[in-house]
Amino acid sequence: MFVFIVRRVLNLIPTFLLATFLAWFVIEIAPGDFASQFAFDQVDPNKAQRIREVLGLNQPWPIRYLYWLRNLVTNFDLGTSMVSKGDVTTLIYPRMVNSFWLLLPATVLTFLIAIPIGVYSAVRKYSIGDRVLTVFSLIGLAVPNFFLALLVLAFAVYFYQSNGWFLIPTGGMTSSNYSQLSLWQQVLDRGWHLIAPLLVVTLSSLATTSRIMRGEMLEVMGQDYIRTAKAKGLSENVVTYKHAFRNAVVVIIATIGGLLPGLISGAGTVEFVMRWPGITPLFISSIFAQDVYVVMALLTVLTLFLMIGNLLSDLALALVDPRIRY
Amino acid sequence: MATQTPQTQTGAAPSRRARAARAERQGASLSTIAWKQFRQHPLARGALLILGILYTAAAFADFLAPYPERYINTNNTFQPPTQVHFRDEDGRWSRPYIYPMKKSLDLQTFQTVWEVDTSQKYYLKFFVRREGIRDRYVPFPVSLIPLKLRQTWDIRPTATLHLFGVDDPTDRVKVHLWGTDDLGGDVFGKVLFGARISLTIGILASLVAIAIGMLMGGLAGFYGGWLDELILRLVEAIDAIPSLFLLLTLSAVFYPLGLPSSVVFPLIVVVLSLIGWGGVARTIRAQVLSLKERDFAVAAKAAGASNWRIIRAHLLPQTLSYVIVVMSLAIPGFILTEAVLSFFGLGIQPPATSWGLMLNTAQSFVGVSGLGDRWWIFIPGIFIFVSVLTWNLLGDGLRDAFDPRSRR
Amino acid sequence: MKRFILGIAALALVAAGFAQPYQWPEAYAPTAVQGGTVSEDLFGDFTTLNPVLISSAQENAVISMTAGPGLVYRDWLGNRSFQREDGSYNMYWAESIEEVRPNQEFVVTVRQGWKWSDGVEMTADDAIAARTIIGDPDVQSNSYSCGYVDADPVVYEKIDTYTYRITLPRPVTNALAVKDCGTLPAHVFMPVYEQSGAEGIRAMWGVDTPPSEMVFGGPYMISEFRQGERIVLTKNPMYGEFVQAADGSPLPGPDQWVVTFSQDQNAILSRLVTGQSDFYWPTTVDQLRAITDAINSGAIGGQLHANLGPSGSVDFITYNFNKLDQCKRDMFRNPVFRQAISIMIDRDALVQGAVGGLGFPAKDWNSEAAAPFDAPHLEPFEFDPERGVEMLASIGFSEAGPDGVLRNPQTGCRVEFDLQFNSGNNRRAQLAVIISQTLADYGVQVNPREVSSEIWTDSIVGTAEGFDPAAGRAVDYDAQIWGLAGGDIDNPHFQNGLMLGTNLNAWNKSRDDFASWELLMDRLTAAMVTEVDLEKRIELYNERATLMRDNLPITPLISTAFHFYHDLGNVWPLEFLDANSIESPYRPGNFRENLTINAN
Repeated sequence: MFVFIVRRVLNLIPTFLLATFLAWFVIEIAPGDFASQFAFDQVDPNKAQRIREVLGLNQPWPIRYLYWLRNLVTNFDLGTSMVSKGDVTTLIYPRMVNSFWLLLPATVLTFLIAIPIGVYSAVRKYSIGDRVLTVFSLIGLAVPNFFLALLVLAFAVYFYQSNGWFLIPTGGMTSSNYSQLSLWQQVLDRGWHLIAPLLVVTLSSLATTSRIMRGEMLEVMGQDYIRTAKAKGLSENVVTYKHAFRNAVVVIIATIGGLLPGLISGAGTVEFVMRWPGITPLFISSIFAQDVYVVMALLTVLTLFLMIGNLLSDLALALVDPRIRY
Repeated sequence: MATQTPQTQTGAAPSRRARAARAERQGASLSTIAWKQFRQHPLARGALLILGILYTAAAFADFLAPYPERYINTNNTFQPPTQVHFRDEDGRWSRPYIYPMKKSLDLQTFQTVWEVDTSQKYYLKFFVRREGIRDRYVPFPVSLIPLKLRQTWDIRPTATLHLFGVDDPTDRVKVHLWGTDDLGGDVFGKVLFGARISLTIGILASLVAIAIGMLMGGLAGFYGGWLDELILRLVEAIDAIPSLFLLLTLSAVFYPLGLPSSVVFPLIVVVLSLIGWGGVARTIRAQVLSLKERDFAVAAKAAGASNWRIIRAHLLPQTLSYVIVVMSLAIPGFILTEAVLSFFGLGIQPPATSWGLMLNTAQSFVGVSGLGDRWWIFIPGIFIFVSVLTWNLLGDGLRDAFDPRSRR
Repeated sequence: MKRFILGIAALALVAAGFAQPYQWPEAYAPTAVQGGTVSEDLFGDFTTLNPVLISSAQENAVISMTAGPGLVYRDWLGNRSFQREDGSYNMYWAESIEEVRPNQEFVVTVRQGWKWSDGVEMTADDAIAARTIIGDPDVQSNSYSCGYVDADPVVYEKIDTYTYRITLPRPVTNALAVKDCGTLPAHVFMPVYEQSGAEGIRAMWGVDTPPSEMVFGGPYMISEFRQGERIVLTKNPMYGEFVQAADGSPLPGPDQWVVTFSQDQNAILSRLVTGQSDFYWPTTVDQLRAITDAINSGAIGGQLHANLGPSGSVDFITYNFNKLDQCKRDMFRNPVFRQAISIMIDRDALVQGAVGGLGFPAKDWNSEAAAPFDAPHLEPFEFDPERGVEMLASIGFSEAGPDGVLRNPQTGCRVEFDLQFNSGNNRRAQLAVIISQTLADYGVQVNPREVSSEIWTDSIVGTAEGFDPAAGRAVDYDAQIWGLAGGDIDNPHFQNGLMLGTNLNAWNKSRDDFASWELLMDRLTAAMVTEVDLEKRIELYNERATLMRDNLPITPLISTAFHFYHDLGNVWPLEFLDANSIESPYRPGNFRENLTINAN
């Protein structure tokens, strides 16, 4: 087991290198570079060329990748934004925090709703309730997030126009008078702004989680020890909830790492439509401006998070599932 | 983006080995049992029926749509759905007919007022022939042949039959069952034409993803060693990059080239499959690893069968049920992803059309301000919804069908 | 990424309005709010608060309100120039200007008593600091070129505390406006610059710097900044002490601006129709209706001024005279071809289809909003597709091929071209699609091509032989839809785009291969740049417009209608919203002196 963990951790290094290299490669094969946008400058026609020289964009891209990697490894330096000229870290850090404050509650809420649905569906397999819940959880999945967000926005507008007060805000993370509020009010204000995006993100990720939960429950309930427990005369409920549920939930918790990409992606368009100042809006504007270092920084940090999440998941899975060979 | 790529299935992966093994022991062929099982799944059957209708409609879009894909009419933008009357003024049944509509914009309120001109009835005709150069089309099975080949083989659009049209010799009165969009295009027709791209993009992308995934996973699992390591690392690397961001980065590569839609479509398929193959490869590898230890593979090897033969004849068929399930669950994810790409302006480009593109147009042109008044241009959203929902239900049904433990 | 909106016109107004030292000119006064808070939504986000590093038009509009003053100002309500008819400058921070050598060497004395927000007085050091820091290529400032004429530096020499000398390597028209790098608080920036150089400057005033650590010289100070959410400006008391209204009372203007960032049009509109913002520039019928509904239902209480006239930007088509393909190059270079395509385009249909009827067919590449630079003598374009087909036949495209596309039986050349537009621009997408579909009926094949802004820009910048690859990549495009916003009013819109022999020329990038009308046009453009007299500039403009109409290097299509909503009471009376005059305060872009490609 110890060897497995060490090997798994060591494996992260080539994976990380390969992932960042892939990402860099993909960015680089896009035609043009950051300086292209300045090529049409009335006052300063040489601007594009000058910027290319200053930023070192005229060097071959593998070399720039190596420089970037060296800075990252030796100084934890993610580079300088070409647009703002400032440190990338200061640019992405608040975005990450903001996205985190959307994703964490969304993850918790998803699990709180999806696990009961999954368990119910597994225990009452093929009952009417199972079907209703399955379809319900799929509804959130089947409506594109950005459209769902638009509907929520339209509802917020409609409610205000007919009642004269806001039930939910029209997007954003804080009210415009946020800085004048007391700490207590600030917390409430944040919570109030969180409701709508949280619901949209959660609704869209319910189906995946509840489906895995259902599968796991079915899986566990088919195991020999459950059958043994049943044979021993333990009641159905005890078997289901004490033995099967516990084991299935462990697996579910262990898959959080694997579910994160879906959640992050799911929150992306919601951040756009609901003005949540998370990572996706910054990522999109950076990728269109070909601000390589910001794009790379976001990809790198997210990749690190996901890799660590996956690592933990794998370890947890390995612990609970003896069939996995080290 | 609610991408639901194949890797979401990995959580339940280990069980399939056991399932497949059990199915093997039962004498009857897996597919027979599965089909029997599937037929008892009402939601999945319903889903299969709806999908069948959708795909048929997409295939015969040229015939079903009253106007060609690129039809526009800038004087008729955002026309509400034409009301088809079945009873005449006296309340008697009549052949279906419509009244023409005329637009006027109230510059005080900015309400677009559509007046129905009831002075003359225009009857609907069925099985009409429209001979215009753009009304002609290549009928269904032949239209699958790529345009380039068709041109080389000199296959010209000749079919002129359309399901319905307006009985108007001047051709001025148009019937728009679901209204018109921002360019005056027929939403009903465009939904049918858009279905071609939206519905096939998922199938093609998951086919390519599964093909890559099976190949890579099979190789990794079977040969092991450095190849296994390399492929695993690659899968991990791709998995480690958040899919939405990888997808957007990849699309942003091709996007600036200003490619025609005939090239953009396959490119999107490739991009989607590039981010989707990892999960398949991983599961296939695990299955191959477990299968190749089992008696029949060892026996085959002992009997001198070549590696390729073992992979082909013994290992891959074992994973077929898994592939079918993964595919049916991956397709809806790809359909949604196509819509997300369109949301960011990186998807199919006009004048070609897809549901994602239509929904994005609706969202950016009409959006929150016209949700109530111009609801019909959001109809493609319903189709995305229905197709994603039904594919998922179908996938659920298939999975249960291939799972021996859920049999009744 | 998409749906880039021009905003902050009102901010610009105040900035321009304040551009009168000591006393606010009377003509500007009624157009500003008195006290209170004004909220606005902005499409985009800020990545820096450093006045040296700001890059986007949005950042520029907001941050420049907090930045130190310039030497001279442009008199928008007068002759629209930095200079008066007698050649003297409109002075802002400058107290007196001695022109030692015309347009080349100046001795400037600045006003005494004008203070930064921290109470330190502005001196010649602040101007020299700005020149030193902005002109340092390593700083990577977007205003870098203010310190240079081509590659040769502009030299600043300090004479005493309030006096310094500016020497240009050679004469430049409007030198003190174009080659003024503005002011930076030297007591804040120079110690950093001396200690850690360009890198130190780049690290200053990022998005994580508390506004209390910053120093401001403009009418407003940043009081709060939340990345991706909003920026809040409050009045700068030091500025108010020194700069006053014409009658000596405190300057008009809100006490606070709250500017909210957004990257989605629906989010912006939702805020507006729920009364959370005070400005909006609607562009579609739906937006207009949503606002009208909200006003009628009492949800919001502002005034909507709809259909005020054409907006400043005209969408037009240019063809690539340097196309590598011989067939297409000959075709694009033929004025009869360009006239034929133009006459086959139904501009009324474009207005209906692309902007829902809320637009105007263009007749010049400037709209009436640019009056008097709008060529009033030109007739509207005709629409007569049959005539267009005849014209095409007259230059050889006389028969229809098997695919229905017209072709020249001798050369085999076909009337087919790609029409590029920049991604995310729904209006131009519609224009391209409509043009493509209407022309298809007459045997002209136009393929709409949506391309990224980078490619699109590169196509504008350069292609083919004689093209300097250092300035951009070669893009062998066919034709493009684009348009311009902003621009220098002295040389209305984009003189470089019309001048021959540069990569920036809008249609012909070659260095020597010109038609005679191109040479004539070039001469007229050059004459306009140096002419100070407004009447004469207009005459030159009109002469050039006629020449351009005859040869159509640029084929104008439409301009959108201009609409404006505000909720500020009676501060923008309707007479100020006369859409036909460029000095109207509402017009977005009139604060932007440098040419930018209109990505709207």
